[in-house]
Amino acid sequence: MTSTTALRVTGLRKSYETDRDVPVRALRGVELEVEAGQFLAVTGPSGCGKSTLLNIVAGLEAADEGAVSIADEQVTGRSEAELALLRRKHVGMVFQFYNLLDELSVIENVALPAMLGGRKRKAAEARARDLLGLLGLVDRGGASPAVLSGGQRQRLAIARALANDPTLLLADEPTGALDSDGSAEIAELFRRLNADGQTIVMVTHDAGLATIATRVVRMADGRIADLPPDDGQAVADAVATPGLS
Amino acid sequence: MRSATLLLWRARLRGSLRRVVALALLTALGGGISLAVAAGARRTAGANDAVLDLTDTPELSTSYVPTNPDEARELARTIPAAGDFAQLVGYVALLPETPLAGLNSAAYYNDPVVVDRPVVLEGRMPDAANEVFLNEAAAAGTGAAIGDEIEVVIAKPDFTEFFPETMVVVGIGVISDAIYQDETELNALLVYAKEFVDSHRELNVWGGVAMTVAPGADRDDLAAQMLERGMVIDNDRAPERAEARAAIRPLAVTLGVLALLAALATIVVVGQALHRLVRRSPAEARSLAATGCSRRMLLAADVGVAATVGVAGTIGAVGVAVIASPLFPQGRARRIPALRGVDVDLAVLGLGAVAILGALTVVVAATSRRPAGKGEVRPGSAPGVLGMNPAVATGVRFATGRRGLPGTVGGVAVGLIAIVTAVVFTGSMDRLVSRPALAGFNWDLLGTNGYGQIDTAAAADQLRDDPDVERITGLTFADVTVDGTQVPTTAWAAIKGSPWPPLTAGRAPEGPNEILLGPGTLDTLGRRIGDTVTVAFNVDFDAGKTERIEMAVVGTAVSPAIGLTGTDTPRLDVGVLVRQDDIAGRGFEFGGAMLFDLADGADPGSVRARFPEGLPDDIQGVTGWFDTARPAEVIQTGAAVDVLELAIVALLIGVMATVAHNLLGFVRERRNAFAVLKALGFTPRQIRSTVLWQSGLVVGAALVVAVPLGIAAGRWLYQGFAGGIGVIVQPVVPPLALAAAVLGAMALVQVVALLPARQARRTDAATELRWE
Repeated sequence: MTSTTALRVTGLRKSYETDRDVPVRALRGVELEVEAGQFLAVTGPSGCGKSTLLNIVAGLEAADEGAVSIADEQVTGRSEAELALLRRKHVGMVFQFYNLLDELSVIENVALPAMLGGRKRKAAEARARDLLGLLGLVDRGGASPAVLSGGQRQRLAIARALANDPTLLLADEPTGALDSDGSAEIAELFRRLNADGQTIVMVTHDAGLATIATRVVRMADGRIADLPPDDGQAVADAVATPGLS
Repeated sequence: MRSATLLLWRARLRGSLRRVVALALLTALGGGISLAVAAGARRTAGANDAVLDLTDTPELSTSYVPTNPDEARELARTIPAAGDFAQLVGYVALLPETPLAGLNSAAYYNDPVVVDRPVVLEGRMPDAANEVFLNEAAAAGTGAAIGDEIEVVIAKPDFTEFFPETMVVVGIGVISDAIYQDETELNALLVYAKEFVDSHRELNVWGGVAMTVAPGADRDDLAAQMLERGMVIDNDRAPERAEARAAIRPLAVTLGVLALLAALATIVVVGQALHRLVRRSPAEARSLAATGCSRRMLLAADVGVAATVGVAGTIGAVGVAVIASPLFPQGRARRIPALRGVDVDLAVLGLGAVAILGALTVVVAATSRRPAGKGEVRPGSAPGVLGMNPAVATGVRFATGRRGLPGTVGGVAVGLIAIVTAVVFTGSMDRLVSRPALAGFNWDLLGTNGYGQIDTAAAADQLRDDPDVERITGLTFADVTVDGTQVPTTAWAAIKGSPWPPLTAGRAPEGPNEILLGPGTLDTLGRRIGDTVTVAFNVDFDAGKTERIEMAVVGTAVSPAIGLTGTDTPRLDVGVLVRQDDIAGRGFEFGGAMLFDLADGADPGSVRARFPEGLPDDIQGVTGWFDTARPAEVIQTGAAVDVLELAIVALLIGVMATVAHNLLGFVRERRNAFAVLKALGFTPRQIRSTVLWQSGLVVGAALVVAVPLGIAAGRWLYQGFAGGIGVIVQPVVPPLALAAAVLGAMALVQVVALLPARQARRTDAATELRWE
């Protein structure tokens, strides 16, 4: 392992129990390595295990087998409290439906994780203002997230995810709830962030979005395979074709 | 349409079964407390009447009958308006080597006794000449139990001979008068069998007859026919009933107010929770509208859910109230076993259940038109919160960032107001019971010789130089009229120190022809302090000759309840208080008592011990000693403190259960928010801390509202209560009890919030964050 490896996943397996007593094998031995500064798009049909992979990487879900490490720190096998500390340091998450805290104002949504990461109040607010400025939301700091447009909300969610300069930015269908303008806006933002050195792992159904990644993998039946990043048609096919192995 | 409404109703019930059950239980608990206390208030208010009915209390009674029991019986039988009657034959009895004085002793000359029956608490009534029944005061004074032998000395009427008797205690119980008598009237009483009369002829000193009214006659007929036969009426049932009701009414009213507060708290908190249960998200409302559901159908389904909770809850509440009914009646009537036990007050339970059910339904119907919308959640309003620990800040934001926060805080506050009100009221009542001065008795020892005129100078000589005795007061009673109105009067002699009971306004009389009035008497007479009134003293009782004097009202005072059997004496806010010097030689005085105020820590027993033969008087009367002179109202009040404390605990449990329920609902609704917090790096401990801070803030805010309002309500309620019974109105805010209630609420909320906190910690973030 080198110091430039942001994420390493080895032999990851995960099954779910179902009502019919037939376990669903979501991950069947996933192997994945993401270098620092890489922008990885994970594509694949619904139910192929993309989100499960992301959740296990973030420590929100436990794997049955295998290992995950972020910046050489083991994710698997840790307690909930240890995982929480690890998330603060290494992981920023962006969701399809934003998952903002409406009880907090726009600036507070960003400052809260910064404070969790150890910043004092003023430093956290300064960091939040910087990020909101970067994402074009600085004039909405005192507003409620509920009054923002979809694109603005997702930008806010990205600002929140970046509050602690995470090793990994994990994004789960970040444009899934946006119109085409909003999607393009977020895609451009991700590209810029990656250009500035942010490592990103993004799960998406959006072929257009996947093509901005520096690397694209396809998941099917709980396994991962690489696709050529500059082959837009291959990516489009991978996204559109369920069960392709 | 009806089937679609039923489908919606069933679906909502099925989807929220646990919440429905929890709300029904909350309704049962809160409603049960309020119904139990309301029914208890009514039962308490009627308990004295119930005792009088239970014992077949006579309408009128007299002791103006021949001492020969057979002659007295024949005389009673000549009264056409008399129904059944009890005939009493009285004896002078002594109980050597006991502290008892003021002893009454009589036999029933009826077998069986059908009127004015004692209530037997243990054992039975006597059947044989050597058997005796004791009232509770006699049992306490002798220390005797059923089956014990006691020595009773029967005196010849002229006190020339004494006949010791060994008697077996066969019963202990209560005479109905004891339910509403003041402490100083609660004399020891021995009751003998009819056979005792036959074996003790010529020893009886008085006779008495107590009569009911014959069918077809009325009380006035009976009174007139008694008076025609020279029977002066000693006891009249109607005013005694009124006196008993007056003694217990303030307590009953207070219980009623507490019941209303508990009911209000229940309706507010359960109503809120029901509103949250039935409200729909805008998306759900749109979907239902798209499927053709009218607003009327949705409202009907919502009200149906509320009614389901209400019906189940009120059935449970009625059950709780019936189970709790043995806690009532409160007051001294509770001594009577027949009045205790399970009771079903159909009127209170029925009306109360309908009221609770109706109120819940109306609350839901009125609020269910407003669907949950974007505005339900908003940025919290606490400024500068981010300076705090993130978990604290988030807890504060979660608490304040809800549209329903004022309602939630208000609901909890109503419950807490009821608790603080009860704490202040109970603390004030407790103080009234423990401080006899508030009921006019600002001494430490009372010696009363009944109708004997105490030689106060001789008695004082023994104590004047005792440094432990700070005040010595002599007391007699008088009959006077003030501005033509007859008012019970006491004459006070300053033997050492100030003679006066506590003043409520003005000043003490300092010279001739200055008087104090009870505050109630002042009102009744329509006078004010500083006015001059015409006081007429009875100079010659038999001739009806009076002496009129102009006297100045210089103040008001609360009189101690020092009773004299068969005589209306000043008590609490009723009466006239004059200097003994002003009445001496002008008016007829009777009765005698001495009061002693001792230095802190001095033992009243040492003063009593100076008078082994009792206080000296003109008739060699026996002295009754009292360390307090509690009026019946205060005795009733003291008996209710325990049940009020129980109500406080029950209310606290109810409020905390409501908080827990609210929090569980919040955690369930905002699973997504807790999942986000996890994703942001909140540790399990921080998640728990967030919920605890959120709940603590809601309860803290509710306390900020509830403590001042509860104190004000408690003081107001107590002022009404104390003013109603005529004691000195001095509400207190018991700091320890209040601190215990406040800290207890804060501590309890931390405990009850652990369950929702646990649920929040166990939020499956991966599932919650994947899709909304």
